[in-house]
Amino acid sequence: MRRLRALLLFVCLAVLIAAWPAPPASAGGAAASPTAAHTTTDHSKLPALQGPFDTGMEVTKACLSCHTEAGKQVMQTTHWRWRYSPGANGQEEEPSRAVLGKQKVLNAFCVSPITNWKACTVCHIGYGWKDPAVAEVGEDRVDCLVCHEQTGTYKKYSYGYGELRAGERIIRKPDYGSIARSVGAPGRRNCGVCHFYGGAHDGAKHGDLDSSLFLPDRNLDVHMDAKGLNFRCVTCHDAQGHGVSGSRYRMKAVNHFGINIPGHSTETHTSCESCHGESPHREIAKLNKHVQRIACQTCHIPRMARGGNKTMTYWDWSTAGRLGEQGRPVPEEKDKAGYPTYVSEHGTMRWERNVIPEYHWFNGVINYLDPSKPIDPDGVVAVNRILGGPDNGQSRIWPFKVMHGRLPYDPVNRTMVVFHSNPVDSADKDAFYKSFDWPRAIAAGMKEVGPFSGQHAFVDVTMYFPITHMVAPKEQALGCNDCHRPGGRLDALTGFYLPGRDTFPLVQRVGWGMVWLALLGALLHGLVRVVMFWRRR
Amino acid sequence: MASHKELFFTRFERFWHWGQALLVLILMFTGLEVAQAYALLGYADATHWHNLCAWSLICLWIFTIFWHIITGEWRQYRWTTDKLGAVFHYYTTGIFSKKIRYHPFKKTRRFKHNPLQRIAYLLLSLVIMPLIGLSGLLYFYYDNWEQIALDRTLLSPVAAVHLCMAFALLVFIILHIYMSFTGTPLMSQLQAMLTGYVVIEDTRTEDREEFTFLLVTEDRDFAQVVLHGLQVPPPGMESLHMEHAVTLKEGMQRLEQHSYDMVMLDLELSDGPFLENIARIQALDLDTPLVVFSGDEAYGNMELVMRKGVVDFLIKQEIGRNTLIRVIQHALFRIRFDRCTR
Repeated sequence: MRRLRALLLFVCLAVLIAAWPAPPASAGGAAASPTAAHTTTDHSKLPALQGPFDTGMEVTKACLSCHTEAGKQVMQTTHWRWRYSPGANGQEEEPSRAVLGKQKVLNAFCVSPITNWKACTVCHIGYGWKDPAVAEVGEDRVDCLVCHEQTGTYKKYSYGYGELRAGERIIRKPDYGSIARSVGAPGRRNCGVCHFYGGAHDGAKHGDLDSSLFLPDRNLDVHMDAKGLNFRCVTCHDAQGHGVSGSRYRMKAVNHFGINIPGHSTETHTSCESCHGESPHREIAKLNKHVQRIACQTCHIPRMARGGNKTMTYWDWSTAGRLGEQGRPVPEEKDKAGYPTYVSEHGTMRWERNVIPEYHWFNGVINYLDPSKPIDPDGVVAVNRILGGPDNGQSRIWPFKVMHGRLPYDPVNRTMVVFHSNPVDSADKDAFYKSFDWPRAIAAGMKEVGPFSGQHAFVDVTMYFPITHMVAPKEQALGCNDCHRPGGRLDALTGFYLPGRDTFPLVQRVGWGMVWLALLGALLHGLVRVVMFWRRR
Repeated sequence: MASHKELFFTRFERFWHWGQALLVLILMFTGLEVAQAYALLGYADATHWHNLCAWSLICLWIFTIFWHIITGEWRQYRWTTDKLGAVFHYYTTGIFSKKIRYHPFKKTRRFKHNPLQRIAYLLLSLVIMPLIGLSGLLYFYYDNWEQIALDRTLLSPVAAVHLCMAFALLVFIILHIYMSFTGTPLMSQLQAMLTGYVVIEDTRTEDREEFTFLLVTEDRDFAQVVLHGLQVPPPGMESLHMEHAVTLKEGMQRLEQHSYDMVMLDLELSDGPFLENIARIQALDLDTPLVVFSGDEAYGNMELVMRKGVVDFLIKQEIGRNTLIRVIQHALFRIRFDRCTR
C-alpha cells in the first residue's frame, strides 16, 4: 500500500514537472529591439531614388523632393555649421562661450580645422566645403547619405565629397543608387564613422567612443548591447528637425526634470535621468541620495576605452618633424598593440585602454580657450576648462578623460596658434606634413586667425572630455569602497568632507593620546594592586 | 564572614547593559574603521553594520529611558559629591594600602553606584551619548539637511564631534572595564552584572570602621543627649558620625541622597502623625534599621508601632549612653539576621 502511494506521488510529480510552463526566453536574445525603426516608407521603392546618380548632390536633390524642409534644417545645425552660438538659446553668458564649434575652438589633437578643410571635412555632413568662411552653399550640398545610408559602404573623401575627385574631375564614385535606396534612421554606424574616429584615429579623442561600439556586448555598454537593448546613438540623442540633442557645448551636469514622458518637458533623452529618473536604485536608498552629488556616469562607467581599443592620452607635437636620410620622415614607431607612438608628421603619442577616468566637480559649463587671448606659457594651458565646485549645489562629480599634450604657440604674442598641416595639393609647401617647417605652417594657419610673430615654441596643454558612454552593467559599477577610503578614486578632489576618506588629524592625535593614557593608567593601577596584593601575603 | 545575596540588577537592566555593551563595541569597531584606524571590513560593510547597530541602540535607549522614568531608577544617576572625596581617596591610595581597606561607599539596592560612578554615568548619559547620538543622526540624515535648512558644508564639524565623542566613549569603556575588576573578590562586579546578584558582606560591627546614623527630631535637648551620649563611638566602632535632621522632610531628603547605617526617628514630629511618618520612611524601601523614640505619652502605642516593623522603640527619658549602645548593637545585629534569613 505504502509503495503504491509512493509510486502515485512520483507519477504526479513527474507529470507536474513535465507540464510546468517553460521559462520565457531570455529578454536579451529573443526580444525585438525597442528602437527598431517603424517606418511607413520603403525607400527602395521610391521612384525618385531609382537614379542613376553621378554625384552626392544629385541624391540630395532627390531626397529634398520629398523631405522639403530637411536641407534648411540641417544647415541650421552645429553638425553643419561647425559653429555653435549659445546666444541663440538666450544663454549668452561669457564672451568665450559666445561662438563655439570646430571653427572656433582648439583641441589638443589636430588643433584646428582652419586651413585644413580638405582633410577635416571628410567628417563634415556636406559636399565641397572648401572654406566655410567664404563658401555660399546650397541645400543640395547637404550630405544626407552619411547619416542615413544603411549599406555600410558609403565613404567620404576630401572636402566631404562622396566621390573621389581630382579638382572637379570625378575619379571614382560609389553606387549611389543602391546606397540612396538603403536609407533609414541613423544607426550606430552612421554616427560612429565620424564620432568614433575623432582625433584622426579609432578611439583617439573621446575615450568613451570608439569602433568597439559598432557591435558592443553587454559588458561594454548595457544600452547599446547588440544582443540586448541594441540602442542606437539617436535612441538617446533624439533629434527634432535634424537638430541632434546632447551637445557637449550645452551640457546638463544635473538634471532635475526626471523621466521624460511625453508632455513632461521639452527635454530630450540625453541624460541618464531622462529615462531612469532621479531615484533609480531600488535596493539601497543611500545610492539615490548620491544622485544629488555624483553623476550616474561616475559609478556606472568605472573605466573608459573598455572595448579593446585604446584611446590617446598624450600627443606631443613638439617632437614632430624628425627626418631621416634625404629629409624623409623617419619610420613610424608603434606600441605592442600597433598604435602609433611616433610619427614624423604628428610627433609623440601615448595610448591606453581600460583607463580610470579623472573625477571633477562639474556644473555643465565648459569654457574653451579663446585663441586670441594671451596664455601663461610657464603653466599648463587648459584648452578647455570645466567649471563647478562642491559648494554651489549645481555641480556633480563627473568622470573625465583628460588629454595631455604639447602644442605650438607664439612666444612673442603669447597666444596659441593654428597651423596648416594637410597639403591641399602636391605643390603646397606651406603644409607641415610636406615641409615640416613649423614657422611656415603656423604662418599659413594664422593668416586666417590673427597675428603671428614668426616665432614658435611649445607649451603643455590639457583638454577635458566628460565621459558618458560605455555604461557598464550594474554589477561592475563602482562600490562604496572605491571612493570612501584614503587613496580611493576621489582622493584628488578636495574642499569637502568625504566620509571614509577624510578624517581629523588633531582629533585623532588627541583622541588616541587619551586612549593610550587611559590604558596606561589602568595598567599601572592594576600593576601596583598586584604588587601590593603579593606584599600583603 | 557572613554574607547574603541581593538582586541589584534586574533582568531588564542586565539585558540593557550587555546589549548596549555589544552594540557599542560593534559601533566602536566599525566606526574606527571609517575613521581609518584600520582597514578590515571596508567602508561599505563597516557603515552597514554601524548603521544597523546605531538604530538598534537607539531602540534600546528608548526602552531604557522609558524604564528608568517608570521605575524611578533614574535617581541612581543623580549628581552627588557626598563621599566623593573618600571614594576617590580609596581608589588612589586605600586600594593599595597594606592593611585591607573597605570601600567607603556601602552600596545598597537604593544606592547602587558610588559617587564616582554616578558622576561618570551621568556624564556618559548627559554628554557623551546625546552628543554622539545627535551627531550620528545628523551624519546619517546628511542627504536631508536641506529640509532642516542646514548648510551641507557643516558635515565636517558634525563628523568631528562624532569622532571626539567616540574617543571619549572609548576612554570610558577602557576605564569602565578596568574598574569592574577593582571589586573584592576580583570578579565580583562582573559576576553581579551577569547574574544580577550582589554579594553583600554582613559586616560585624568590629569589622567596620565608619558608621553614619541619621537622627530625626525636633527636640533639641533630646538631640543633645543622643549626640553627647555617642560622642565617643561605641566599643568596636572606629568612628560614628551622627547627622541630625530637624524635620521629617529634611530627613527624607537626606535619606534620598545618602545611605545610613541606622535611622533614629522621633515619633513626636510636627510633620504629621507618627504612624504616617514611619510609613513614609518605610516607603523609601531602605535596607536600614529604623529605631523610634517617644516621650511617655506615646508609650501606649508601642505595640502598634513595633508591628510596623521598626527595630526598637525607646522612651526618651530612659536614654543614656549604655542604652544607646545596647540599642545600636541590637539593631545592627537584627538587620543582619533579617538579611540572612531573607
